[in-house]
Amino acid sequence: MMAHNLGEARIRVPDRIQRGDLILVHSIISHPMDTGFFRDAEGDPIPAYFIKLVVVTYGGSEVARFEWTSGISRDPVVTFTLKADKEGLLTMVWTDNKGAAFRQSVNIGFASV
Amino acid sequence: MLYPFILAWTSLTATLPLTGPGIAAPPPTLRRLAAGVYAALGDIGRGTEGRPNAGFVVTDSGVVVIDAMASPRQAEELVQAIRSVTPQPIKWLVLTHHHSDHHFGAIVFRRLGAKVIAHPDRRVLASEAGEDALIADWVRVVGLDAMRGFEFANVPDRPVTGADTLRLGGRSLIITHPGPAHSAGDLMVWLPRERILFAGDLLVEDGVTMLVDGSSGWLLRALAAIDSLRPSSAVPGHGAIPVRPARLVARTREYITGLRSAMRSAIEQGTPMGRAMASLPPADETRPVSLNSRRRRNAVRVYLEEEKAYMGLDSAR
Repeated sequence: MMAHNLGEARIRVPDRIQRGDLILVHSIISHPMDTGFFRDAEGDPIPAYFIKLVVVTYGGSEVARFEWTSGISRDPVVTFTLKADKEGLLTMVWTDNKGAAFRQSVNIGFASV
Repeated sequence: MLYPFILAWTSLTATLPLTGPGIAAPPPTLRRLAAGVYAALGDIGRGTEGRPNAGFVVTDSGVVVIDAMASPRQAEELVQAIRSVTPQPIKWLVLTHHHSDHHFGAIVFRRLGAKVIAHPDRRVLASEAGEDALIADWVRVVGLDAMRGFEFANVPDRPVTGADTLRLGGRSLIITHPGPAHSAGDLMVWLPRERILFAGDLLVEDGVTMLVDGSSGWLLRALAAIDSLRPSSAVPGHGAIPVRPARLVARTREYITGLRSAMRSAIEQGTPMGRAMASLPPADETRPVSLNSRRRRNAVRVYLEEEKAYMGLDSAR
């Protein structure tokens, strides 16, 4: 059903970006996002295990922050628009409630016209 | 926790009227497809909401039944229908998958001495909350009376995960797992000499196969496999037997590929799921598997598949 490689993350941006473009950023991370409300096949409760914070930085400064609860699907996708006004790294860090932080970056570079 | 409840409820695969509590349904109508090969017709024109189809093959050494109907009572009616054709003992029951509406009558055949052939993967979305919840949900659908004598009987005596040929009384039935298309434990039954296919819920009369526990990619592969058999007759899991099986397969494929490309382009454009589905009619709230509900549920499913594929995490395909 899901990718089982915990924390594997992808960020996708358009192949060709020009300065000033409003671009779509797609991201996904592989995570079980267990709510804590379910039991496993043996009947034992599955403890809550979910991403609680996503921080997006662009060229070194924070541009977005998502504070999540367990009410988000497994392998959560975040899609947002970004004004591409500078070249630099777009970095996302997903932190879960066990304290693990997963990081992924893409370079935002402008196509020569 | 409303959401898991909705998941459990919406994954039921039939609803009330003709199968409801206190309403006596007529025994299934038999259609003879070839010498000794019969389809037991469930409801027609109600899509997945109707009573399912089943079938059976009569040989000189016993009967092979394909699918067990939705309750012990329905199964008993099927046994009566079989008895109207042959006194041969029922040797085998093949289950095309593990959804309640196709196997909840299995115990009746087991008690008559039949062995069960099924895929060993019995996991279905509807059983996520446990077997008791699955039964309780199903009692609400078919009524307590129809469930009298119920026990689970879908653990296979003869598990099939690839392809298996059942030989009985000079007949051959080729049983194959086409991949997790409609559900994890899908099987189809092919009679090579008669060119008759029992497709289970890979096919539904209206061409809107549900991707309940499977995936659109595997369904497309399953449809290709059905095409390559060139069946002269294909019995869908629900509804009328198509005059031309290839047309129903093509219609199903067009529906699925159309949905995939619509969802794919929505994702590429950053369109959220809700808006990507805006053109579909609303789901019927109390009818989880009506045509409109099925179309929306499939759209959700395919949107999520395409999202993963677009992001390169496409293990589900």
